[in-house]
Amino acid sequence: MMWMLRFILDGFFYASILFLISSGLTLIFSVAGIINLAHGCLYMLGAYIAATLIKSLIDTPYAILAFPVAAFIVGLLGLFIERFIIRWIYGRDLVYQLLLTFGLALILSDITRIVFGTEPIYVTKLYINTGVIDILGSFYPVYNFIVIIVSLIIGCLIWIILYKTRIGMMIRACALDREMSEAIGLNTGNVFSLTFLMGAILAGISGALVVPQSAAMLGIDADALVESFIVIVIGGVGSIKGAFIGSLLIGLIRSFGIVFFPEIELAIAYLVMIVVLLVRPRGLFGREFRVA
Amino acid sequence: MGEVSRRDFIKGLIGGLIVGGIVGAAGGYVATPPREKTVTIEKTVATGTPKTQTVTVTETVTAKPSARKVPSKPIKLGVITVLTGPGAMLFSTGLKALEMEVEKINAQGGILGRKIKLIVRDSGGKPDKCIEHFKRLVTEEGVDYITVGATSAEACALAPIAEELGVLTLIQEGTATKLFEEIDPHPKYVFRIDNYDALDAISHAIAIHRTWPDARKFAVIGADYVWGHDEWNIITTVLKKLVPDMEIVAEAWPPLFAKDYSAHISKVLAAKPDVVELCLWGGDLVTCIKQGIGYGLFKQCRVSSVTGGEYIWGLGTECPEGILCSTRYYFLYPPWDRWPLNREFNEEFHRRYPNVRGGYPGFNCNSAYTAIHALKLAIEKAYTIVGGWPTTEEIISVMENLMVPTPGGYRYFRKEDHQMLGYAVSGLTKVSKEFGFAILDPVWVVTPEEMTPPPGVKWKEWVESWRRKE
Repeated sequence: MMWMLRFILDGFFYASILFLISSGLTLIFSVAGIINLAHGCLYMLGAYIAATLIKSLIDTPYAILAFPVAAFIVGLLGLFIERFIIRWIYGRDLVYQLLLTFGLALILSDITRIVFGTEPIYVTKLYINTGVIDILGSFYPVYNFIVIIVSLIIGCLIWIILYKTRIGMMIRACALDREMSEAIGLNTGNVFSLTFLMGAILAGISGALVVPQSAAMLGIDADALVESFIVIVIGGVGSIKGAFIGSLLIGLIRSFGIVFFPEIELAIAYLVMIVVLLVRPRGLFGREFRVA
Repeated sequence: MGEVSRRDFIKGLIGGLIVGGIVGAAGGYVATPPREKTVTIEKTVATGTPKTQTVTVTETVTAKPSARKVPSKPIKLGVITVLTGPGAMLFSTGLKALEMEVEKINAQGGILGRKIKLIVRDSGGKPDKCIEHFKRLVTEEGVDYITVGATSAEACALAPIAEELGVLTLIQEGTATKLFEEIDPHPKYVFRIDNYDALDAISHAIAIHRTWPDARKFAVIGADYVWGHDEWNIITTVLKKLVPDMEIVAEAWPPLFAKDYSAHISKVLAAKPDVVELCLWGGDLVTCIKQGIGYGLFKQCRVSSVTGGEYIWGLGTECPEGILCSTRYYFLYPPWDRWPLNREFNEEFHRRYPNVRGGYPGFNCNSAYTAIHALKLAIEKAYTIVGGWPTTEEIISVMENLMVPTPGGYRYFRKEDHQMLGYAVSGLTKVSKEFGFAILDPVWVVTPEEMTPPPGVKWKEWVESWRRKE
């Protein structure tokens, strides 16, 4: 029983990070209709920026500031990318988006390599110093709990912004019908910028949260991107709730898969995705979507 | 800008790039100089196995010193290594050590007065690119010799081509066991410097048994690709010989370059093993150890790692103590006070690159040092024997029996399969305030005699043939 609890916690932890990444991706897609293949790179950049900051501030209480600062810098980068690069291809064919954002992904990962070097950056101290707690005789790192709680809080914040504020209403209106929103006088350009800012912040913060437990290293972008695509396909494209349930599902399935079906651990997420696509092609909570 | 004109602009841009690329490539092809002709010299061919190199070569080679002048132009040494992608972390330091040694050799006048010129190519860890670079280095750059610091897949793809083109190739890593067991069993032009994977695993298994003779229940967290599974297979085969009643209680196989090992650690801990082997390397090992600390892994069982030695530097002083790590070369062994070559190499490396991965040379730095110094030594010896600049074949016949002093002690090439042999180092981690990371203390070695199958014998047959002393 005690081991079961650990596997569930492991699954929750994995799901937390996945949820933060995929909610940003799904938000941008549902509002701006852009499949942002550079989203994984924003996540990686968040990790590198946070790692560099934490490393230099590790012995001061300001180390905690590394997380919001990294998220903010990545957010600004997302805003920049939307304003000066992606803006030109709204309403164009899907191929343009894919080529453009894929090109961006390659450029960003090369920039990361040039700026931060090829060696991974580890920040072990923060993870170790937050300590461990004893759950029924087995240890569990406190940091993992913190990440789970933080991502729940961020999830709630996204929900409040989208459903309880005027800005959220505008975002949802744009997501539902762009032309109609423009017709009633909404400045959709600004809404798109805002969405990119939010999406990039989410990518940045998830990258930053991963660093103390893992490391900032090259190549983490591709895995993150692929897994968050699985999550949003399962949960339903454009649905934050879908992203939440989708990541929870993937997190738990992975955690139990490692224990009970290690041979197909990697395939299992894809199998779930295939089943969902066959039974419910629009995903668990997705609405019918079209690429603008 | 209108819809149509923008599209035209993009078309024009792409068209321009393609045309420009073709013109540039064609220009580059035309502009490269043809390979220079080498002068071949008559000589009688050696027959029979020599007892010592000096005797054999003087007997069989007819020297014509007048025709064998040392050329005045520099030696072109082609270098293929991994400078981009995930492998870059490992191999870029090897290149640094190589450049350092070449600079030192050149400052002292080069090899017999010829300076060494490195022509470096980045394979990105991809076999096809590695082969392409190899062919172009030979045909377009006209390099004299090639040294390769690359992955196993690259080495295996490369060896047959090196044999075919007849270029002396020193493989530093590329430590797949099958390279000389299956792919190139009778090498002529290809040599390999580092201990290969089977030796790593056999020596590590011996070290585990020596360190913890009472251990019975073993578990593994291993990288889910060929290397991880092969190493674990060899380790368990050897352990079964040494500890007949051993059992494997859990296996967890995270993918290569995974970032989260929580569930794998939980799984292994649930099986309550005596020893957990971490068949991981590089950042994977560091991340797994770090997460293991959070899960109390090191409090609940003993942990070993087949590659650990230098990767744990990434953990700084947070590294848990008492992890059994093995490696191909360890920067503190042989001890600096007893082997000045090692001290000099380390101090020089540390002075030049204090911020490169812990600031001290790793195993691939030692193999880079060995590659260039083995070449230097072989050329110089061959020169004294034949009385002139030696041919590649003459260098090879010297190298086949060559003993080289390296920072990691004396190492020698085995004539039959061109594999260099040296000992493997194991030790238990102990945090060192002086270095700012965990060092191995105490350190002990497994000798080549204990861990190396005879030439032509596969590791499995050899290990299966072990008999316990009653």
